[in-house]
Amino acid sequence: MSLFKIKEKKKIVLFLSVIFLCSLIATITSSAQITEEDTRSDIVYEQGSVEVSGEQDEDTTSKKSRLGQSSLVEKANSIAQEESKEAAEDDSSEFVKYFKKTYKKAKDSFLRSFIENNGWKSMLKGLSVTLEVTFFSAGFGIILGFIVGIIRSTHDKTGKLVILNKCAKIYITIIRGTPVVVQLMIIYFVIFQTYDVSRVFAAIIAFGINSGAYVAEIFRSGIMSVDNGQMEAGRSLGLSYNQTMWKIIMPQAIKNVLPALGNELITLLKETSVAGYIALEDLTRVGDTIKTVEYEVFWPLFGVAAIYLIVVLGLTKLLSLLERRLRVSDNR
Amino acid sequence: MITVKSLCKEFTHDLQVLKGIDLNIEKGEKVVIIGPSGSGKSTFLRCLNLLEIPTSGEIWFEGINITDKKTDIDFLRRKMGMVFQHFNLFPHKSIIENIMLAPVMLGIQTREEAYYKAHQLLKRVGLSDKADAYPAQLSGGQKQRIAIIRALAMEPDVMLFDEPTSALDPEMVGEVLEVMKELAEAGMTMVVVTHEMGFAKEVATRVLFMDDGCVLEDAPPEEFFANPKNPRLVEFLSKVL
Repeated sequence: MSLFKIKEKKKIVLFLSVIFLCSLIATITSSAQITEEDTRSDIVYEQGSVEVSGEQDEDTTSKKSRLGQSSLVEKANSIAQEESKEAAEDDSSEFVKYFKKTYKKAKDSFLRSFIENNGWKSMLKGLSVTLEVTFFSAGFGIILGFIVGIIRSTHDKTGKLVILNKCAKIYITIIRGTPVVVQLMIIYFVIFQTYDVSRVFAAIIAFGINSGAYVAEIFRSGIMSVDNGQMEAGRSLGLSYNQTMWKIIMPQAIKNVLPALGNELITLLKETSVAGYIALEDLTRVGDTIKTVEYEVFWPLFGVAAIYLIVVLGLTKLLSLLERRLRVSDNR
Repeated sequence: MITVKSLCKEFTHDLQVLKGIDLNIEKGEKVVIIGPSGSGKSTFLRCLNLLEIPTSGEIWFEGINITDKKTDIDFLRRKMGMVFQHFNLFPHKSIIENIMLAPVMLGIQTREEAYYKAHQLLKRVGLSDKADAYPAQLSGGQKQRIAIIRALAMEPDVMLFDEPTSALDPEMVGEVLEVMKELAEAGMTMVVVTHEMGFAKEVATRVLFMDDGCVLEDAPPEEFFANPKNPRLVEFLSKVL
């Protein structure tokens, strides 16, 4: 258990370092914009820098305590201004100034993206839509895929269900052979054209049908991966085909299939990001809107990316827990 | 008890594995089938409980034609225990669950009865301490003993053994054969495909020699080993003994 916890810590550290890397890139990119375009905001920037340097300087703060309240700010400002004049000639201070300038710019951009116009609220709403679509389409996809997978593998094993197997094959071929965006638009704009359905519902159906085709093949591979001897052993004890399938083959197949199924779930979560094509306000779409409205590229996009990443990390953790539970019988 | 009439099995038109086998097995007999690999002995055994569907011919078991399509084969299989070369224990179930699964699921015994019975069977093969272990934690010999009592838990009338010791370390062959001997002494009807000539000599009431899809010799073990008639069998015995 202690080993497991260390692993967890490593994960957290990794995740934090990714976020740190993101913000580093943010400062670099946004600072590049400033130096190129924003010469007119020089005054503003200098004031800002004075304030910040004044606060941070230990000497100034120690003087503050000795001086009276009224003259404090003035005094501090004058000292800071002197310092900043010196700094203007100094190379290392130039770097500090540059860094502060970019920090402020990044901070402003962050506030504009997420805070000022309640961007974070719309993002949460978008996230909830994304999760809703993912959850229900995954459920639908797994049920559909399970049925189709059983039809296909029963045909493979026994040669029965010829017509159903043909239908399943056509379904899988079409779905896997066309892009999910096109399927989504066909379902919303063509198939549901005359019905008044919500965009969320259309997205759930589209992504569910799409995912079902992949899940079907995953289940089929899982069922086929269970040794034939298991079926023979079950049948030789007098169990019927169905009883053996449910009690003997399926539990083993699902255990084998879980990593691939988790993979499909993660893929599905990210695939829902194209739901914006039918104007569904999902997470990606919200990020895109903020981007357009606020003229900010960095924070909305990286924010969206980070949220997806966090959700995927959570999913991965859940799946590994489930996997560990099912692996009890492998212990030697 | 089991009557086989001109049983044939083809996998393709070119590959004829069984070429018309006639056989009658009485209650309490211990029939051992030997022969070179590819002679069709395993296929023949698997035909007896329809794990392989015969191409033609009839198999009668306890007065019922099991090759008839209308026969409920699942019901008849309850009376025919089978032991496989590769054990085929259910890896996701513990040993006790492996043994209890079929009787409970088919409603033949209640959970309590099945549990009690499973423990008795485990004691019989000396594996009581393994009840809650999983198959992956057992040695090959232990797995095969469990596979045997799993079949016995259904209280079958006949036991079919498909090379039960072929996948085992030489060290573990003995413990499995010991269980089979005890079973034979208890009066169980047995059909055994094996390469263990010692077992055939000691336990069998009849020994069959199969080659190329036909039964070439059918005799009590004393006669079979001391005085083989078929030239192919003479050649085979000279190689293996």
